[in-house]
Amino acid sequence: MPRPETEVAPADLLLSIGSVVGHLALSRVPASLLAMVRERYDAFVLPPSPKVERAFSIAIVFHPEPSPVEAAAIVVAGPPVAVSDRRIEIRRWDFEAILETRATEPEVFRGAATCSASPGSLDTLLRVLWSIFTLRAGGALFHACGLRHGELGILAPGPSGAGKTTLARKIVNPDDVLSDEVVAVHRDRDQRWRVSGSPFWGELRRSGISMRSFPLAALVFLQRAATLRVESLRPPEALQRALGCVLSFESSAETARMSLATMTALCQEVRPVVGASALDTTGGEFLAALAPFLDGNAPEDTAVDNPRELISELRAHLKRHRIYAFRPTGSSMQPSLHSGDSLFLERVRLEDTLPGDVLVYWRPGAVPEQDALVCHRMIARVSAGRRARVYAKGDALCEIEQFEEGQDAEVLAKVRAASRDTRTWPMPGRAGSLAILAGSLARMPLLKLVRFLR
Amino acid sequence: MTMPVIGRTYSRVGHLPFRRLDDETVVLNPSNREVHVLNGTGSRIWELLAIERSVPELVRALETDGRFEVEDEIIAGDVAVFVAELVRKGLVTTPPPRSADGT
Repeated sequence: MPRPETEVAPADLLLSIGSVVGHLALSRVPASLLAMVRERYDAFVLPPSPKVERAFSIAIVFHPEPSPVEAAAIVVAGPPVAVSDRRIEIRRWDFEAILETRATEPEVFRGAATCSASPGSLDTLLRVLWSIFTLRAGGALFHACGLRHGELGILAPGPSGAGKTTLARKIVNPDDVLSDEVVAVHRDRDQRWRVSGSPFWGELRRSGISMRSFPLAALVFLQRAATLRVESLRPPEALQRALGCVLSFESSAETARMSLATMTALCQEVRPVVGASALDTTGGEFLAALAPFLDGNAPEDTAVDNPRELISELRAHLKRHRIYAFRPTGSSMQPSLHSGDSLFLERVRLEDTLPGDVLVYWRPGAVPEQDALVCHRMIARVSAGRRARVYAKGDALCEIEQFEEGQDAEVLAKVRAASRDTRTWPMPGRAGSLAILAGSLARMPLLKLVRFLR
Repeated sequence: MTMPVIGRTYSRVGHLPFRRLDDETVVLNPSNREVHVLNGTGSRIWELLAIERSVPELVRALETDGRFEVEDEIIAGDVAVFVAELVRKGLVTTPPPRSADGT
């Protein structure tokens, strides 16, 4: 009999997918499953600060996967998903979850779940949860390929076999694919539609880049054809197709009404087209054929208006490239750093830092607009159980702030060098790397983080 | 396909969500997640079935609309077939026929 895998200590995950934040308290989770979870969902993980507003919080206890014989014998009574204003019940042969709201906190659903210790089971449970809450937030999860096209987003829904993954494979830059399977749409504060990726992928088996969303410029219903053709779709037909591609596990009339209202608005406000392509149609040809239909939808201001998404993208860049450069404003680090200085960052683990290092860390707020990217000098680092407590201060400030790494904030990088006018100087650290960092500046695009650095 | 009985009344299933877009209506059946698109005439019949109506009553209402220029018998036949299809798809319901004693 195989030995049961070692279980790791309970773990907290705060995931932000589309516009919905959900908290997962995982326990009795095998080490290998937790490692997979961290890798698969990493791009959508927030520091699990209790300040962050969330749609739901669920404690998930894992149990060993049943054998095929055991699984076949499990009978689930009732509908797989039952949702009311105050209660959600989810049941399948491999997981079960119940969440409710409390009178004192009617905005947040809290509950518990048991789940088979398998990546597929957990992934499906999360898809169900996010499909429920995204719809209730006025958005939706779609069976779709999501693409980034410059600073715009394209939603390409389609049933199985319509060509979602085929289209994703044809896109030259893999980072322009938000997902080949499940994509989130939601409205921003100005009620404009936006599209974002998800950790739920299909055959491409990737895990997403970041939480970044893009203004939705086209709704392209995919279908296979002998030749490439992109043409407008009448709203009633678009609505019918859209309803067929929404990820929904509920069958209540109320949910159907909600779904119909959301999809109607989407199909009326974002120009729907049908995108029929052949197997030999390239990604470039497809996007070129789509281009005339995008122009009318491009909003005037496509800049990201949300620090959380942009910081998550910075984290993704640092994870991919290790180093980055940007030009913040702010006066808290004077006289060492001035507003407008170029800062060269290097991704770092907290345990590799020393007092005196200038760190860049992500401090989440209650809502995405309140997230902050902070650049302050570490005064001290103290072990506090499984986590470290960091004490930091802006050079120009008197107040010392403290945070628990991995809980209240997440350290992303340290500042290795700064540049002002034509002079570049190292921050405390290994000066030998300076030439490499400075030389990287020409190749690195600058992120629009100016407004968000404190 | 079961043909509708002339004289029986029909009405749309009350909880089904639907939307009128342009001249067409999209109806969503949550029990089986089917989505139906009704054309202009179908949309009008759907509207009329907000209350119980018989096939002859539907035909009279469509004639009043001035939608058709063909014989009543043809319209009645087409409407009857359409209503039967709506019943088959679970979008329209009909009360059970009353027995001779009225029960």
